[in-house]
Amino acid sequence: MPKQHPLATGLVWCVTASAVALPCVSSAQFDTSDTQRVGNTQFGNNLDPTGWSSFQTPDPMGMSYLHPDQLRTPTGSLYPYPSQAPAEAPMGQGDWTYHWLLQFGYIHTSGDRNAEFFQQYAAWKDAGALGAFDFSALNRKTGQYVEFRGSRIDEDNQYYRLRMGTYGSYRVEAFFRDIPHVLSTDAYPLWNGVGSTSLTLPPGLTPGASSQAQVAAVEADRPRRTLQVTRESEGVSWEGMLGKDWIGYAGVTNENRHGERDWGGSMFFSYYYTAPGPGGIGTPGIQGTGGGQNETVRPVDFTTTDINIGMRNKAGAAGWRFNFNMSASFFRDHKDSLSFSAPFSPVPGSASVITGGTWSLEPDNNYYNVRLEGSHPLSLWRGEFSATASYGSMRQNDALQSPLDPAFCPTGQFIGTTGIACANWNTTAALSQQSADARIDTGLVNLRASFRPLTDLTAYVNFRWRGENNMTRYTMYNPLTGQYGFLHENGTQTLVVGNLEAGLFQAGNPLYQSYFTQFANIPYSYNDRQAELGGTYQVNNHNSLGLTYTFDRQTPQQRERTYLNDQHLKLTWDSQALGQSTLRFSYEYEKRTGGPYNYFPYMPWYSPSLPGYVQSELGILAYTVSQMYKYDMSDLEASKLKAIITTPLGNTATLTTTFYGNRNRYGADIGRQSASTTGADVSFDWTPSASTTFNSYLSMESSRIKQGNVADNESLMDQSPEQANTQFGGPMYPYANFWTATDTEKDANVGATISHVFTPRVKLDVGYDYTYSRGVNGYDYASMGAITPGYLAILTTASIGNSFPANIYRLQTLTANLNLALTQRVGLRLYGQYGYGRYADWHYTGFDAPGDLVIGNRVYTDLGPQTRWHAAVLGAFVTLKL
Amino acid sequence: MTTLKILGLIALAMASVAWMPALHAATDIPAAAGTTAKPAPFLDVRRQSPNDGNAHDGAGKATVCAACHGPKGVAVAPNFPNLAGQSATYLYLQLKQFKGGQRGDPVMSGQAANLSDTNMRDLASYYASLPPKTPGSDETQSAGAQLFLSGDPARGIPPCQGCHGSDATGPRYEASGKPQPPWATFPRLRGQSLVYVTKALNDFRSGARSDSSNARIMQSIAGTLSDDDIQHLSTYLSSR
Repeated sequence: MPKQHPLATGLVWCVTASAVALPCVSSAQFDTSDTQRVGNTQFGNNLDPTGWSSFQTPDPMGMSYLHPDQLRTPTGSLYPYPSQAPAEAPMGQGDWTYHWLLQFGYIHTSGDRNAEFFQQYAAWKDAGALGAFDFSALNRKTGQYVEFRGSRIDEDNQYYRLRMGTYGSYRVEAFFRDIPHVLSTDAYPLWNGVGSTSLTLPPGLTPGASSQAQVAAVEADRPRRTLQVTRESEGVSWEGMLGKDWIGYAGVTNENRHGERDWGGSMFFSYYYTAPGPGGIGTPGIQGTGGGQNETVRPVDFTTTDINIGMRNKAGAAGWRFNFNMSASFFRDHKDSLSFSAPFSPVPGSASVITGGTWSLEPDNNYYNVRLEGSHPLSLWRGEFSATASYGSMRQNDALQSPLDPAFCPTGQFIGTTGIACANWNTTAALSQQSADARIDTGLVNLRASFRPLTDLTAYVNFRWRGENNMTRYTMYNPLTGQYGFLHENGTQTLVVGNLEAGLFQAGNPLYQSYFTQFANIPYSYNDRQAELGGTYQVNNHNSLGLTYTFDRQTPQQRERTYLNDQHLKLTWDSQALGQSTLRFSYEYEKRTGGPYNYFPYMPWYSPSLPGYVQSELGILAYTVSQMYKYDMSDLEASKLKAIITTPLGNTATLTTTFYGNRNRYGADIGRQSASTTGADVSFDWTPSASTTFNSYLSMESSRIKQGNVADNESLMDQSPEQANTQFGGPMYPYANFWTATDTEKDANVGATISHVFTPRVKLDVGYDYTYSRGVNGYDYASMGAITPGYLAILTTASIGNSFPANIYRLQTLTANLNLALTQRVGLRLYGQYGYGRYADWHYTGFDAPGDLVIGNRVYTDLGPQTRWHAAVLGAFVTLKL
Repeated sequence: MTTLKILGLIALAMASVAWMPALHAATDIPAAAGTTAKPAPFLDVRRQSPNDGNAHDGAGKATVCAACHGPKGVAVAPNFPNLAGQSATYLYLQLKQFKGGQRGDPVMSGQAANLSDTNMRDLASYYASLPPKTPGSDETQSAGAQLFLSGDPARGIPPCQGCHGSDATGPRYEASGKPQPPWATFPRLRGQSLVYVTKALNDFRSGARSDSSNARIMQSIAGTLSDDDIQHLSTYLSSR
């Protein structure tokens, strides 16, 4: 299917939408407080996260000529001092004034400058940089304005924005930006062609026939690379008055994500550690020589074009206020497949016919949405009625790939001794259809009526319906062979295990007539109806209480339960009766129940439902234990509590303390059992004057998730009819094989910033942040029966223990920023950042050098983040301004 | 490609700047700013503490003042303000502003120039201690009374009584934990002449009096008043 350029598709959509909604408008993307729908609300970067530091000199006059100290918000927090307006100059003899600022300099990095966590969202480079360029002009008489802002750390980290318009009339905005995301600085990909759609092995290696020693030797000499994805986006938007009561808006944003990231490449399992190592039982076993697992590198080359157009009515016809919106999103993947050569033969001792694999990467897809919102005052109890209706559709019709790549399973060859001809699977003729023809439609209707029957009482009732209808139907059927299903693992599964496990079903063929496999997509859909009743009562001048009851009934299709009932009861209490403090307290209780649980409702999409399926005399191997409850479908009792206490300390300081926690108990022994979070935040903010601001914070959180499962009794597989018994406690899933996994995480963050204007010429900002995170994957098991028998030979109770080593992340960052005004128009800015990090992740244990990245038939790419690093950034800038 | 996009955005910015008609007229910028005297520094009175002068000492220093403001603080002509019973802090700040240049007056600037801070405080205390001019009527229905008491929210005019007191004799306030305005710096208005109130409001409106935090408050309020409003308010206040 030919691809259409996303902008062309967008233009068609925009023109169509314009014809319906507006006479003729330009396209747009929205910002901040108005009709923003997609990103780009904040323009800043690592040098200046706020985007405004050049102008952030607090105005000593504060917000009022009436009183010297800042007032507080209704919840007790101090309003910050507003910034001083930059100096302006008249532009000619008209009514325009303008100002500008240019800041340029050089950035230098030192220390462990390649540390992953140092570079992660910055992509620092030693290079010249544009700290800021700002120009703005304003006509106070007419309200016209134009503003341009930009900053550039390097080519991957920059932004530019232009805004112009007339206050109260219209606004136009255009922007361009690049945001980096460094994913790895310690990558040693084995393959050539990183970034392309084809990964080939370097000289010295033969696809499907290399030895582990050969691969390890080549890997040891691979060059270090940085894997990074950059988000480049640009857009233009418009918003303006259309007559007295209507406001129109339109926008288009285009985002290109490009770069590379770690990826996979499976050529069947490679975990044959069944023989003990030299130290006997309990020591690492012999590395696997079958299968093959490859950590490849995939290209990222996407474009997402978002279009948003609409109009809203602010005063309304006959009392109605409207908002009509049409939006669309077009995703295009410019590299929609990835092929990789595999170095090893999945079958030990013989060269492989299958010499590589292919990924189908994300397909192009389109999304459309139409939304109408309206509201109208009600005469009853000073009420208001509002309604929302929305319809959306997600569609993709990309060309489908052949199941196998002819480069890795050439025509004329057969997969091992299976008799499966590559020619029957390396062509799109092996597919039941040539394009995806996928579509999911969504709908939403929301009705709400709110009332104020008494001065102290507000109440509302809300009804909502949401639905999702998956209309995609795809059958995995090969018309060339008459077989259902697909060849697993790029065809290597059948190479290793034989025809019976190839992944195929075919009626009347003894090799395939009993194979249990999925043969069609499962069109998950749902309907969700929700009713909510709530209100607040002002008990007295210092206390208000709120109560909300929500009943949510979901009727999913093709899921384990036919219906779910979710009930929520929420209580809120806002109080100013605790001295000077303000308390905001909320507690919510949730209970979820539902219909009978069917652990496997998917049989219509599996081969036993096809004519000609011959059930094995041993029965169908249990798909899973029937007591396995998926967490989104299981019963649930949950409670959430949150209390925020804001305490004013005099007229210049505030102490804010927050406690929160939630407890979720799922009605399952197998599956997720429980999840909980407990945390507290304390912050102290002090602004003794406009020239000094001090903020500090401490936050701590502990979370825990526990899940249970039961290991198969592998001795029954293909041996006994009891292999079909799905009951927990039965022969296939005995209690003795039960195990649990508990993930706990403790996080702490502490930091402080101080900003001080020593004189109008000298301003210093210093900040310190410390982040700590410790995660432990723990486990428990009823007996050694929970351990896969193949590993029993190399494990003991002592070596198993009860947890993996802790994963620890520590990061300390000290940032300082000094602004010196040398003259009224010339200044100097010095920027410094020092980072110190420590990191431990057992997944990367043993990866010290590139040669360590080959283990058995497994090839890894990433050595992992540096475990201990120091790095610094120094920047010196000259500031010129009006 | 990226460079092209950035260049395109900058070109768009330049085009939009070029679009502004004012730029085409930007040929010569008046250089007058360099020839005028250095402006007086802005006076922030929000933390002003109440005046602590000596009224007795002030009495001995008021001889010259009496020529215009009267021997008992009631002006000899309507273009001069009555000082008797006025807020001492207000009076002190006015003298300080005349001396510092934040207020300008052909007579008062010269008179205040040689006053020490103690003299200004003593004079202010002295005049504050004198009995104010005898009040007039208490009518509440005139246009001026309505503006003073209720303002005009539709036009953004706040009621004057919020700061100057319901009877225009100065503010009444209650302590609270919130930041407070410098109440003592707000003047009594009752009994000032029509001519003087009119001039004061016009000076605020025009920006002639704008170099203190209190003057900025009055500047924004006076900006909402029409000539008729000023006339009505002046009439009302002078009749009380």
